[in-house]
Amino acid sequence: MGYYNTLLGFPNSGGKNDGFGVPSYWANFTNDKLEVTVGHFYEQFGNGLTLRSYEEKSLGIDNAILGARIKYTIVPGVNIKGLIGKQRYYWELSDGILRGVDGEIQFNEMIKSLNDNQFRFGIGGSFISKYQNEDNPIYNLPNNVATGAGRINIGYSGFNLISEYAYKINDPSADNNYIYRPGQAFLINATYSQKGLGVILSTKWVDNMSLRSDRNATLSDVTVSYLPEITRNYTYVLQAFYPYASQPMGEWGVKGEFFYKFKKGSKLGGKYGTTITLNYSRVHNIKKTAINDSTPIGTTGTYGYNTSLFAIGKELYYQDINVEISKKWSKKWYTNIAYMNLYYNYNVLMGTAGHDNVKANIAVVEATYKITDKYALKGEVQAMFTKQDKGNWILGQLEFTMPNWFFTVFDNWNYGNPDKSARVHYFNVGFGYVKGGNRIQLTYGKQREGVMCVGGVCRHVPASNGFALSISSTF
Amino acid sequence: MKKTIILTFAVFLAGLFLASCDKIEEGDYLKDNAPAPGPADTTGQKTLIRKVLILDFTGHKCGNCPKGHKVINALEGKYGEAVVPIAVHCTYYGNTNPNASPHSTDTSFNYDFRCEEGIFLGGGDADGGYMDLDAVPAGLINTFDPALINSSPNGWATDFAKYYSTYPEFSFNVNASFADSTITTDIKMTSEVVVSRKLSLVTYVIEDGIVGWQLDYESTPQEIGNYIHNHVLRTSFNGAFGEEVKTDNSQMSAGDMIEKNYTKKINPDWNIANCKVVAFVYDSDTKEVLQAEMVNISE
Repeated sequence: MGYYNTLLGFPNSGGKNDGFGVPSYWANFTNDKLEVTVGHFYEQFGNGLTLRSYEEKSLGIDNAILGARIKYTIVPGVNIKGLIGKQRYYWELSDGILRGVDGEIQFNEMIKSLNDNQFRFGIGGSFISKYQNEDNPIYNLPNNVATGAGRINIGYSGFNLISEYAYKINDPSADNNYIYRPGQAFLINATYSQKGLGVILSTKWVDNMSLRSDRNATLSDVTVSYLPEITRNYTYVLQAFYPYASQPMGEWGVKGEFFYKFKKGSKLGGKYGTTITLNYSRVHNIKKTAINDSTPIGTTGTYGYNTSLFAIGKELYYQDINVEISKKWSKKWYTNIAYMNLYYNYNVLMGTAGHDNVKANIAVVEATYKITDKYALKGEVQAMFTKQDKGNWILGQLEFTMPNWFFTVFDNWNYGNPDKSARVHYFNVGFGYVKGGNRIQLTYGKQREGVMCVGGVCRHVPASNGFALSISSTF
Repeated sequence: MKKTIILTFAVFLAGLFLASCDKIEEGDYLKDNAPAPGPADTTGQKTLIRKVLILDFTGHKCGNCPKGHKVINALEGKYGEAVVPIAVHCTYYGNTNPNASPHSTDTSFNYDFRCEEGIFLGGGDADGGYMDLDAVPAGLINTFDPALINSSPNGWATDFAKYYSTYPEFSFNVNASFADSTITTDIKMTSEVVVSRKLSLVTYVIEDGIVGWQLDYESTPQEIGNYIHNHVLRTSFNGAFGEEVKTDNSQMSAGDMIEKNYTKKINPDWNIANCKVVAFVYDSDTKEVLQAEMVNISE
């Protein structure tokens, strides 16, 4: 199995990412109540605020833990996990040692008489300690950094609520510019669903909550904590053009999503039904105050700043309003139309300076025509209108699908770029083969360029031309 | 079995809680005492501390790079001459292209801090050079090995301390003088212990005190017109990687000396009063820098 660069311009200092070998090995013992793993494993505690070890190849993330893990079910519904190990750092291991425990009680599983109760209730807690010895000649640094979190889940019929709060002690790191204040994160996610109706309401508040097993790691290396983004992930290219990225140094966000399906045969539903989806999200900075008059916020080697839980700042990081209507007109025709209004704080989210923040309107029309049961043709037109950054874009796409195969062609044209010489067509063609859990895809085309900074480190991704081959298998 | 598992967990938990928290109180953040350097120099003739080379890959359009400069300043404040920094301006962030962000005007970001050797090592507009840099700031502390790139400037200090507290294998005696727009340098490196490494010697010219533009995300405004650029790599006497001065693993006794002389014509734009000669020796195989020296140029 190889670890070659998945993206052009992707972190690969000195070829750390290149190589060929056996990256994972493990031995596992399991019986009814006990599971013991020695070797490489992935793990998540709760919502991931304290620990999420996972693999995401397309983003170059693989922070598997090499060590030992025990999972034990004391009684049904009461589970504990304990682990110790070091994280994968490309072909090496991260400097820090992780030790963690997680416990969870799901009362409906534990108490037999509640097994089928409409009301569901559970609690959980986790604790992670990172050990990294470091002889910094300038600062006294904590060798042991502890993070703890508590969580709760409540449900009744179609209603579900989950919430988690995490706290981390002083952890000067490259991410927070070596400040000593503790970190915290809080999230609530409430959902309601019944046939034809769904509602999601979420909020989160994050302050100085990046945790890595090496305090000097940057970009996407050896992350331990994971801060789920609450904004919606879009799949249409132009809607996903300015994606939100979680800001571990501080953010407050809220999201509402509403889904309704007009019944078949109703006035708006027509013969086959109509679905409408609305969503809104808004993310701000958190309010930070200086520790004294002479020390700017976030100065290296200080406490950093002061803030309090749910102190919301005035700076808008991100906002989106999106409406989507999908309708099946006949056995042959299906359409989906979407409109999105976006505010994107370019400097904060891309880690740059001096850019205008992007305000954009994006429209998408998609139509699918089923030629026969086996053959379908899909056409898509997307347009983005903005006066900032690279200006207006328009994208047209055609996709033909048949059993096991698909063929696609699209052109993304930056026709409104303020710099006339940069009004470029990004033309792509591709085809793929899908069978069972396997997918092979070959595309040829031109990619956009960009600058991106994460955790104080910036990289420039150049424009490129070429073939991309992707193979994925799930078993 | 069940009892054993629960007991194991309990012990594990207890250990975890006991060993897990190192809270540093406010006021104790700064370290008072420095790690001990090597033996004191009694003759005044040569260096007996292990000086440490910091290759700071940087760019004037890199808003996070001043963090690296601050760490170097802090180390210089504490360790003085033991810090041998070289600012290698390179990558996309070192460009002077008026269309690349931040946009240059007639007066801003149009001075080119880069030099041939720096671009070779750290890369130009569209590549990462020999070091395969994907991002700046990036530091290499006492090494030429790209796999040891450290992207966290505060981590450079830790790397610095690791080398500084060890005994030097070499001492340097470097002289540099300037006449007829030419720098002449004479380098004597003497082994302090028995050495059987292959050795390479690098000799650079750097310039301090160049006033120019710099992007700094921690400053208001972020585009600074009168930033002072120090330790800027100007040229090399003997190539980006220097010259191999010992090509085999034969033994060199303590006290053995290698001497080299170089001359180089300088660019008339440089202010020779602010220029320095930096010499360092590294193991040709492991790329570890064994000793470094930085001297003023006499006129």
